[in-house]
Amino acid sequence: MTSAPVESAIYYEWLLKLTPEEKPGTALAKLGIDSIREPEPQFEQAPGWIPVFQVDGISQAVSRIDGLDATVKRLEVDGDTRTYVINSAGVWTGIREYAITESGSEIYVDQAANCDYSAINTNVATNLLSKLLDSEYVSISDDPYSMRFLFKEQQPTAGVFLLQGVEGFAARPYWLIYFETDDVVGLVSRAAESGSRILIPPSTSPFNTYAVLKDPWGNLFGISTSLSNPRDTPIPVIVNGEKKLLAEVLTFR
Amino acid sequence: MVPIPPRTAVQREQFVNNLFTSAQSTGLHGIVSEIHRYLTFDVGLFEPNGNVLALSPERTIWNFDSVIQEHSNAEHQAFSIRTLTQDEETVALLVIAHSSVPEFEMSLSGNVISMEIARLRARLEGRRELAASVIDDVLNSRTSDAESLSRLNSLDIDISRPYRLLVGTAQQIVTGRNLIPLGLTAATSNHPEPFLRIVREGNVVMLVPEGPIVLRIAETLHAHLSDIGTAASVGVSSSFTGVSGLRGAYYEALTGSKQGPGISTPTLINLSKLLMLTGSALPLNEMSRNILGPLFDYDKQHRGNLFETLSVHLKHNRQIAQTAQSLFVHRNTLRYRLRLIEDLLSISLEDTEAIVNISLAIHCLNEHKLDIYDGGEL
Repeated sequence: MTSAPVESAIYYEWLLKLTPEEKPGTALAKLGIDSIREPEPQFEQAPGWIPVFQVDGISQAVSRIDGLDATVKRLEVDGDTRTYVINSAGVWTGIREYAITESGSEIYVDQAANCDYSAINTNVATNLLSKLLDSEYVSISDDPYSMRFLFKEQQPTAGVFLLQGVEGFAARPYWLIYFETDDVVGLVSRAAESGSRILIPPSTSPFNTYAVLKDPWGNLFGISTSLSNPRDTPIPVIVNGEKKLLAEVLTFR
Repeated sequence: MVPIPPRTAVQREQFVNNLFTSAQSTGLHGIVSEIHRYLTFDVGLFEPNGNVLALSPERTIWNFDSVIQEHSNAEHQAFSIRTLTQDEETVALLVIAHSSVPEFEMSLSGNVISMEIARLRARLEGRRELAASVIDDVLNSRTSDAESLSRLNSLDIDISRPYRLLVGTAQQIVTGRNLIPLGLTAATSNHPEPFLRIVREGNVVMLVPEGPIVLRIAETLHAHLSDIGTAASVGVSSSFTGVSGLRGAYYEALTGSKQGPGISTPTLINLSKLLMLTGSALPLNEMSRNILGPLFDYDKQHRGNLFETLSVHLKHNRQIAQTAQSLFVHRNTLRYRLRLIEDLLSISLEDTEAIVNISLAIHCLNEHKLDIYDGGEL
């Protein structure tokens, strides 16, 4: 959601060096960006990127979070019924059912973006998301950010971090969508020269080189180059109370 | 806020060693991490425009606007803030999330960071100076196109594809700020800047690839210039390619930047303005006065206003009605004056060449805001 959807689409397509097509946003759609639009009154939330996760079924996903502190909204958007889960912090998460081919096989949309959630309480956030997405999770041992990975069938789905904001400032939970690139520094520099602000400069984690920025319309986004072999890094984790290494639990594409 | 416990001499000595070791091995990130480790409070290093250079912890989101607000208060409530300067230019803000960081640690941290920034700047400015030299040679036609192309290619500047030039400036620039934003992010990773940026004759010149974001880049540049001074202006050229295109692009953008505050997008180039900007070697002032001299003589002797009449007439595209209205005279009075002008200057106001000549002369005198009636001497 953004106050300037057309300009935003043009901006991101340029930033990510996508070949623009006739209509702004078409190139982004090939990355899995469902839509870029102005927040409508029915959305009632601050602008920003909303991740949309594939689930086994809308009703099943909603029933799994029954009793948790979250509300479900079904909204008509462009003739489609879209389902969103809003947590107690007011953060929106989209869900949709897996696409099914004519032969009955499920289609997995190949992600060109990954995402993580910065939470005030990682336990609460992880509990909600893992149930919603029917995912397991690993906790990275002794991690200063209390990092968790949600995963399904050994594939990471999303990360959850402890919100890090300087006391009193920037302390609102949020989803952060990372766009994959092979040149984080170059892309960050381009972004800074074209009106984005660098919030986290290019940094290295065991999984990627990443940066976080605020686009010219104030929306947070991330840039990432995933390491080709993070599984080679021995990262101790805890899964279902059991100590393991991350590489034993997850497979990074 | 819990006070920072005093450190022993040994601890401080270790801190000094660790800072310098970090600077050598991991640059700004390492220095900031070491400061955080030693003081245990969050540390942020910012460029003057708010972009973060380094953080510890790394995933901390800061609100720079709040930092600036805090910085403007005489008494800091939440942060210790140190402005880092080099050659009277503000290069960074060091911010530590504690209101009372001891001066020793603050000063030392600032100095080590400044040294590292100086090293990065030297790398950055070296490349910019090389680029500026090439651009200057191109604009002054001192080198062949082939040689210029070769030199630009060696600096990873691709002008074989369409590009635009932006030329920007500001007045009354605040002490400690530079026309070009520092832009150290690329330098910290030894990465080239995304767009060529140089300073030439008091203007910042940027070369950006043609694309849908050129205006947004111009807006970003304009925002920076507005932040550091007054009457910020940016001229945007139309699309050019190749070495020869650099000359056209530069002068197009330059004349655009002289249109006044704001961003000027490509329009039909004003050759008279261009001549004023680039004809510094020519005695344009004297020539202009000579051309219009008879009018000045007449106006002085008869307390007339023929020069004003001619200027206004040309401004209104030689339309009698609008000119008369603007001058608050009758049309017949105007016609009389115009005939007198033609006689004095020995021209016809229907002659295109004469009009062009007169227009250039008037532009020259207006551009330089010359006192036309210079104590009786012309």
